[in-house]
Amino acid sequence: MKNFPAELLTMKHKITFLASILFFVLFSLVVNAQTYVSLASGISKDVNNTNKSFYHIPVSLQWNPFKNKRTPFFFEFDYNIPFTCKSTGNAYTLNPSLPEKVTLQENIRSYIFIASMGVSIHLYTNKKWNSFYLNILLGICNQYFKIVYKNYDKANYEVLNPDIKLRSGGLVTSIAGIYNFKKSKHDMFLKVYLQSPPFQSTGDYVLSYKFVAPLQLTFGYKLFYNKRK
Amino acid sequence: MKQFKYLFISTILLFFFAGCAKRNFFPDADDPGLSLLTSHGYNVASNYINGQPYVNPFGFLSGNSLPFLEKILTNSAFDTLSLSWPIELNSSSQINNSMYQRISLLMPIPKSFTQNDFSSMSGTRLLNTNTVQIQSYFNSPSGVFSGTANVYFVKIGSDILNNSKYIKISGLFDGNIGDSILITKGRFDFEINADNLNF
Repeated sequence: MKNFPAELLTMKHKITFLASILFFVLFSLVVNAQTYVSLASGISKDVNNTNKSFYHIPVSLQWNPFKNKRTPFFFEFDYNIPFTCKSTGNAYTLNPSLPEKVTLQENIRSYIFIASMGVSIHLYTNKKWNSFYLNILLGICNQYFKIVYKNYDKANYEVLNPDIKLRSGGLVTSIAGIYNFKKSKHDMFLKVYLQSPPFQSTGDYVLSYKFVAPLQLTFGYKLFYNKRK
Repeated sequence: MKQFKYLFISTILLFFFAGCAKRNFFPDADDPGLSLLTSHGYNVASNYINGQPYVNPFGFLSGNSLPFLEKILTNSAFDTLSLSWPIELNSSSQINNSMYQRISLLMPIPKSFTQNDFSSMSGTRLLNTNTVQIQSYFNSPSGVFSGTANVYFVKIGSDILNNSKYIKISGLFDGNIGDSILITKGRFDFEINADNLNF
C-alpha cells in the first residue's frame, strides 16, 4: 500500500477522511441507542494507591432515558461500598509511666460516589447478537475517607503524621468495556470499568493515601423499557 | 496607556500573591487550637499554656516564624542546647493579647556536642532534665519564667536542598513552671538550615 506524505494530502482528502471517521462513530452510536435502566455490582480494586489496597463493592446504576435512536448518551451513578483498609500509625507520649511509643492500627474507609454522563460506542456483535461496547464517561466524583485509629489513647498519646478525614472530589473520566449477553427480555452484561482519580489535589497536608481510582469488574442486568422492535 | 496601567497592576498583584507564604497549620480535632504532630518540616509549633492554645506566628510574606537552635556555652560541666521560637495566642478573638511571646526548651549537652550527636537524639525522650522558659515582654508580670520540661525528639532527619543540609526536627514537649504555669500538649515540626547552626 502506498504511503502518502502528510503534505501531499489535500484539504479535500482530509475532510473526506474526517467525515469517514465521523460517519463510522455516529453509525456505531446509533446502533446502540435504546432506553434502558441497568443495575450492576461486583468487585473493585483501587489502582492509584501503591502502598494501600482499597477494595469496594460497586453498585452501578445506568440510565438511558433517550427515546431518540440517535442519542447514544446515558447517565450513570456509581456508589462504592468500602471494605476497611488496614494500616498502622505510630503514637508517642511524654508520660513516663507509659511506653514512649506504640503502634496503632489505622482503619481507612473510602466512600465513593460518582455521577457521570457517558457515550456508548458499539464495537462488535456476533451471530448470537451478543455485543461488545465501549463506554466513555465524564463525571463528578465525591470521595470521603473516614479514619479511625483503634485503641487510641488521645489523652496521653499523639500520632505522628496522622491521616485525617477527607471529603473532596472533582471531575473524573472513566472508560468501560462491556460485553452484552442478548436475552429475550432483558440483557445481561459483564463490565470492566476504569476510572481516573479526581482531577483535584488532596490539599497541602501530606496524607498516606491518595484519591482512589477504581478498577471494577461487575455483572449486571439491563432492563429495557420502550424497547425497539 | 490605560492598558499598560492595568497590565502593570495585574503584574504587581501576580507577584504579590505568588510571594505570599502558605500557613502550615493543620488543626488537631482532638486538641482545639493546636496543630497535628507532623514531621514534614512544616515549621509549626503549638502548645497549651494554662489551657490556652499558643502557636508560632505567621506572616503573609515570611511564612511561619522559624525557631532558633543553638548551643549555649556555659562555665559548668555541660553546655546547653536551646530550641526556641516566638509564640502567640492562637485565637482570632484575642489578637495581640498574648500573655507570652517566646518559649525556649533548654537541654544539657556535653561540651563536645556535634550535629551528629544531635541527629542521634532522634527517638530520645528527655525527662525532667530540661528547662522550659517562657518570656513575657509586654504583659504584667513581664520577664522570663523558668521551670522543668520534658522533651521528646520523636524524629530528627536531614535533607540536602540546593547544596545545603536541612535538619527536620519533630517532637513533643511539656513543662511546669512553679505549678502555676502549666505547658501541655506541646508539639513542634521544624526545618532548620544546618549551615546556620553553631555546633
